[in-house]
Amino acid sequence: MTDKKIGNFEAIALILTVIVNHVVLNLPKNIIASTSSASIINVLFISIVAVLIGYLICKLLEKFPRLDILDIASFLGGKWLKIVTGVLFLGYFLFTVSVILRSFSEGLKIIFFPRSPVAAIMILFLLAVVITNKIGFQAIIRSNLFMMPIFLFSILFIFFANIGNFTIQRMLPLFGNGTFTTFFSGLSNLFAFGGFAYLYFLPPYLKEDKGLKKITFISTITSGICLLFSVATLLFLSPNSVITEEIFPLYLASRNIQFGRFFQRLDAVFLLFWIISLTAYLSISFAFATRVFQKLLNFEYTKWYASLFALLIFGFAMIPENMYQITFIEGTIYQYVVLILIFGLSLALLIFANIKYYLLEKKKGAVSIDKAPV
Amino acid sequence: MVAITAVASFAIPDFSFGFHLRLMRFIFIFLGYIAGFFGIGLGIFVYLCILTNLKSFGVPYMVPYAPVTNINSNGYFLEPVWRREKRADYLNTKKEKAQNHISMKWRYK
Repeated sequence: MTDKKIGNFEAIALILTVIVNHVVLNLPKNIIASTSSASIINVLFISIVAVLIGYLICKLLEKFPRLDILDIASFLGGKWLKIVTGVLFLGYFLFTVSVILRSFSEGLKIIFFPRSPVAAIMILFLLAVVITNKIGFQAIIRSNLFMMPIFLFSILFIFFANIGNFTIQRMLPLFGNGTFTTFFSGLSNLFAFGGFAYLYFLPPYLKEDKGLKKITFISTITSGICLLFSVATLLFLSPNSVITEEIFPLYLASRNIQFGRFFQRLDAVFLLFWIISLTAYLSISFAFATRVFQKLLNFEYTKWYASLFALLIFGFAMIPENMYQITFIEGTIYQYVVLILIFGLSLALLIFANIKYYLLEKKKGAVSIDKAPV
Repeated sequence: MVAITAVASFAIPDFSFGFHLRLMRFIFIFLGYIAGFFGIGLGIFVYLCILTNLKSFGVPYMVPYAPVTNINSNGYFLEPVWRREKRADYLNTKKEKAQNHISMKWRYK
């Protein structure tokens, strides 16, 4: 068994990590805020669009087996395009980790630690992230795979356990604020599938070359199902005006779960799972950030600067001054960063690389591409 | 919870298998004291990473769950002995097949 490679299930769990953690935070709330009662139709629509985009990405990556987006950028535009692409993705991973860390820590402070400083909570998270990164990339991926079924089950469980409290009429009117809001401006909710960022870096790590298509489809469809259930839970449970003002709305939905007098306060168990899930997500994004940095500067080892990155992330996470700024960054800025970088620039880069490959193939015959070792 | 923990500890067949649990119990108590459920959650994830990183005679400790290997009769559920045709993938054996497709040929004569 080759140790440095990851299997199909591990890759699927990796991409699912993104949506599971965003669903726990404010993603369903942002979707409901933008599309109101048409959220379910909007989620179905963006899931179909995401599957099509995933198919397109796989098709574009077919010409470049075992190459990640940095290698493809290097093929397209030389060293400078590789550096620019690398810096953008590095910035994206660091930004994501900082924002999610701060957002979750603030929520945890409100729920569990009202008298503790947010910095202390973030330091504990970062300590765990640095330790797991020193243990190894494989260990993080496999631990994430181990726990992923539990994370997914928790979201489904919240939906089915709250069925008695649902008001299905909240789905009406079916198209909410209109078809334009649902299908055109609602397309911006595609940022929910930010896990595609990992797809661009997966090919060198996969055991089977041809597994990328299977991984893309299964992870996208499962992400869509997970998102659908979480949005449906919040939409049917409370009025929109209540949901859009809450922090951790899914946690509040879990507080309604009660089975007689024996099983109560199951929200604590869910929070335990979500803490583990978030630590996995932070560790994975952190690991990808260090690997991009390693590839850009041709370092041999990644472990020695993990602590420095952690300090950097801590600094970024402390920048927002209040919850309103955090919600704005997480809801609006993150949305545009994902749409522009993951679905805009990266797709354009792949399309131009394919055009260049086609022209070179026509001119010279076979095309060879240099790639850096993983 | 204490009763469940006590009964579960009897599920460990050998006394020496329980040594690491004695040590981990103190570590988790300390983590719980520092940060409650949050500390225990972090501890569980770090512990899981350590376990998935371990290898025993070249075979990953958490196989076949992480990494997922061929799940024919090596996963969560085991088939009857006469249906276990393939050897475990993580053993890297020379011959993958342990027995023929129809192993009990005398049944069909």
